[in-house]
Amino acid sequence: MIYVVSIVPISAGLALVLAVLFNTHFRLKEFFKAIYFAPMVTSTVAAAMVWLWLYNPQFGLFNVILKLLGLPAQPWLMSSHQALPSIIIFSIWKSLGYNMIIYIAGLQAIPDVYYEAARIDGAGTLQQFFKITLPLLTPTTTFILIYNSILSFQVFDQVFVLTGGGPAYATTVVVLELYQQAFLKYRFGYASAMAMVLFLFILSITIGQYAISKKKEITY
Amino acid sequence: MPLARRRRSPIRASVGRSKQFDRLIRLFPKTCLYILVLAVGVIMILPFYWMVVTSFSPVEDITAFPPKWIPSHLTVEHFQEALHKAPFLLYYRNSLAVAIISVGCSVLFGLFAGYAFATYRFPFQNFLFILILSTIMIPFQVTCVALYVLLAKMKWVDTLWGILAPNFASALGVFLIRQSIHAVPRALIDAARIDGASEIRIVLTVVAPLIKTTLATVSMILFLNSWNDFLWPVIAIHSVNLRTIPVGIALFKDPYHIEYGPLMAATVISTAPMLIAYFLSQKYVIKGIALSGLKG
Repeated sequence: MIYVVSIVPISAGLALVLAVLFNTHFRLKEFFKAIYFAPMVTSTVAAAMVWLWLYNPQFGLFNVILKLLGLPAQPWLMSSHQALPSIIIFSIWKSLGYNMIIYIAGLQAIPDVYYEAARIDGAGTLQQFFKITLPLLTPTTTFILIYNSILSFQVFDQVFVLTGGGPAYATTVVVLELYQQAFLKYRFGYASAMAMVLFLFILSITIGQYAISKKKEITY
Repeated sequence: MPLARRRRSPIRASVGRSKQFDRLIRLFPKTCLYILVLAVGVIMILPFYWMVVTSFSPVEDITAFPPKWIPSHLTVEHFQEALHKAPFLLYYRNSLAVAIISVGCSVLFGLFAGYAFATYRFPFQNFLFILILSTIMIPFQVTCVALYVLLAKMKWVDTLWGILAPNFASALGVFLIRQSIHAVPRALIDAARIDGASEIRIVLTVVAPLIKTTLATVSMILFLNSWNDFLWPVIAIHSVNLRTIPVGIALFKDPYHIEYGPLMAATVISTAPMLIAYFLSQKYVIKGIALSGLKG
């Protein structure tokens, strides 16, 4: 639950900022796009393995960099406080490219005339962003929010690889619990019930978010 | 871009800034943009880079401090050990077999089902179509337990058919293919019918070539999904010899003593072909995925 609540806004926000950057013209743009998108096409399991190594408290690259900067090393996945944030960072890294591409597509759909009119009226860049870009991107944002919440509720692979639900159940997410109940403890009935609840949860969130954004939507 | 050029000149001139100031203003955001894009780019690529470096570094480099960004000498010992510890080539064969069969069947079924939904009129057509579409909304995680029980009753657990079973047809494929068959001119299909072509022949020789972009996109997405899928294979497969690559990698690590060299070598073995293929065709891949979604 914490996982979903914290991951969705962060990755949507980051993706939006990056998309705005990428909507301007600069050299090597396609190259950078490709790099940002690369985590998306690699298998979650393999990528999570690499991050397991990066998060290693003794020799992992993150702690090594922290040490180089003179900062104290962190336990990352080994501590019940940091394990979940660590997985969240991984997931943001993984999905950032996809969200960014979706936002870029949304940005390109906004007609140039609006910006032109705003500029003639003397609107600054920030003002343009908040008064034009953001409202007109509402459908895209809705999609990204719904899509990411659904995906976050289904998260399994990275948790399985990185922590296996530990330490002390700090990272046990719904699907992992479901998997363990069904396929390690063979409680299929219980797991099926969990699956139903998960489905209803996802469904209600989808409908809820859709309804809210319908109200706010602006037609062009 | 005539629009962009027109934007700048008259309005800016009337404000009356000096030219130098104008240039500074214009260059400053551009520099910031470059630095930001580069910084995030480095973060995005770093795990991949470190994976490759670790896999080729000798053991003493891996735990060295300060870190060796470039290995002191290249070695393939980790690769040898990884291949020795787990049959990755066999995992490759399994993954490839599953991906090719499931993509092939899904595209074929999608093609015929999409054609039927796009061109025929039959009772309950809309109802059936919505029924198929709504299965996209149900996450796989919700149905996997029931599927497993079903599979167990069919005695398909721990076979490659078991992995394949839920992937023979794809609702997304049916949907995308139907949409693009809608765009095919009806006259072409009618002309083929008048010429006496059978329906199967129409689908394969008239419709399919016309929507080959969609078919390619659908195949690519399904291939990626199948290749990277983890939850279902890990549930459906118990024996080592039938593991697909993601399962092989996930269960490769020894939970008590992890040797990162061979582990990274294993991830390189399993991700490199896909990454190379991706970078060769990235523009196309990104477009296709943005168009139709990919489960993460």
